[in-house]
Amino acid sequence: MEYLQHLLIMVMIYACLTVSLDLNIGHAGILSFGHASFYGIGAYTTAILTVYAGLDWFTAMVLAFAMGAFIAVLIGLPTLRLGGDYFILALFGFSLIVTSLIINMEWLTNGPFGIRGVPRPSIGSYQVQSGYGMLGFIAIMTAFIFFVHWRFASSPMKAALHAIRDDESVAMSLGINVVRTKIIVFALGGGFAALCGAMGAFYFRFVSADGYGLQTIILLWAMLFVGGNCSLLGAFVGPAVLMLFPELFRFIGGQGWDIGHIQEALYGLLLILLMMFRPQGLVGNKVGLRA
Amino acid sequence: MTAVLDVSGISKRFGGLAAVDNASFTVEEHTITSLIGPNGAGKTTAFNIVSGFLKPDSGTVTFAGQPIEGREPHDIYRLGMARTFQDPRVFQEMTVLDNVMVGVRQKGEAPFWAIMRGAKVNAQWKAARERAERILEDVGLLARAKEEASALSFGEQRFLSIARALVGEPRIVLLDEPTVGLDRSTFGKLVELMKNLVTKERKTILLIEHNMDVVMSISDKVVLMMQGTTVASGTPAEVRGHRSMVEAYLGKRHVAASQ
Repeated sequence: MEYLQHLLIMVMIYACLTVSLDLNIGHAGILSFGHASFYGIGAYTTAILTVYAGLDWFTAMVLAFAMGAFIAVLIGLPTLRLGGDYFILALFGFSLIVTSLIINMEWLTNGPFGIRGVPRPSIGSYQVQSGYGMLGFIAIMTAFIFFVHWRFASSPMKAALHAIRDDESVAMSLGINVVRTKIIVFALGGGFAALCGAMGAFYFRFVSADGYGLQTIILLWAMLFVGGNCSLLGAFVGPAVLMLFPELFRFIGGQGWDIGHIQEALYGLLLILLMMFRPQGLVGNKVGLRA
Repeated sequence: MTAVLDVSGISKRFGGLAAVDNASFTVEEHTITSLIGPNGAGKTTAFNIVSGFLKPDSGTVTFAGQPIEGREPHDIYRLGMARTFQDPRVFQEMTVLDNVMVGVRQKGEAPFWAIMRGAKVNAQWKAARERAERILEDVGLLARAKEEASALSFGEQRFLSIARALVGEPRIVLLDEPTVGLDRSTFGKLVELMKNLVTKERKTILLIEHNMDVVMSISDKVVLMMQGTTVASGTPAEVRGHRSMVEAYLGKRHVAASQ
């Protein structure tokens, strides 16, 4: 049961990361290669504020969101004017800097050892423990984040974002402040990724510099495209498939089999087949990626 | 008649080339003004300066009494000036109705109001939809409102791009060669639409147009551009007889021959 709870929690955290990445990539055409960094910034902000500064979990979580959004604005102001491919490279550079800072700013981040002892959330006298309590907490956060993204995608905001994604000049000619809108959306993406980082920190009670680099960025992009762009359901299906698929292989094979390499190869094959036969994603309705 | 748009002495160089060189013209309210001239005369560059897509090196653009040269396109739109492009450039994957609704600026686009909604936001949204539907009816596309824009023919996409420019209720609309590539019947519909916009909807139109039959039949005023400069301006009859007009469209030899 605990194993299943763990899988569910991980799928939900990644679904929240994917839906906020979709707001950037799918809806606004902002090809964010920095999403994993904002996730890390949120996790570290939460850990530092609770463990070192002694703030309560809720304040720390709100400030983690604010920190993610604030850094996204700082990074977005100079880079969002760049074309799609240059923007990807600039954000990749940003993600390298973030990982390097986390490892080297030992006075703040405890360097490669990470920060232990992040408290679990509590409401009044009720302290969330592991197991069902944590599952409930993550489920409530996920419901909140999906609700917000559903509101975005079912409001006039959606048409304005899609206009920017498809033709910036036409969007400008129709009165849309393209630069400001892109910065706001990028900040929202950074804020929600940081919120996911807070959720992860509360769950693991531990943050470390691993897991916010290139591998996570690529995993998040893969989750988005496997599930499908501009789709709330897709943002759930993508992470579910990519997280549960490798787990299935744990139960095949016998003693002495070296399942690890076969597992990776099958995983790669799944991605290739999906992109060949369903480029729009499993439940998405738009084809591929535009830059 | 008062000039709603006053373009005075604008210039724009690209490297060594003067694309627009000291051009001036005015557009009077509730009229159709056509900007004509040979290819490369600087008509589209002038359009881009007026609509904010290019900043002029010198000169002023005054719209409804305010200087607008060098302001951002989205600001200028909000002051009541809309434009189309030479290609329809509709949003292919959006529905026809959504394409038009992109032209409506409203409170509900801000993330905070997108989440919170409330009566005012919803009412604005509903009004936007109704206005978009009314304009689609005017251009004859209401029956196709729910289809993807990519399903429309080229001519229909042109009408859609004009509807999209009209939905924000602009005072003046800048149309860049709207009749290019249209067949005879849609061509007639477009001319009719432009006439109605001015007479019934009390709009003002600034038009770039190559078809002289259209120019001469619907314009209240014609402005002739050559090599970046406005060389003649007046009623269609006045400009037709102008020496520069003959030179522009028939060549200098004909001017000499006719004298």
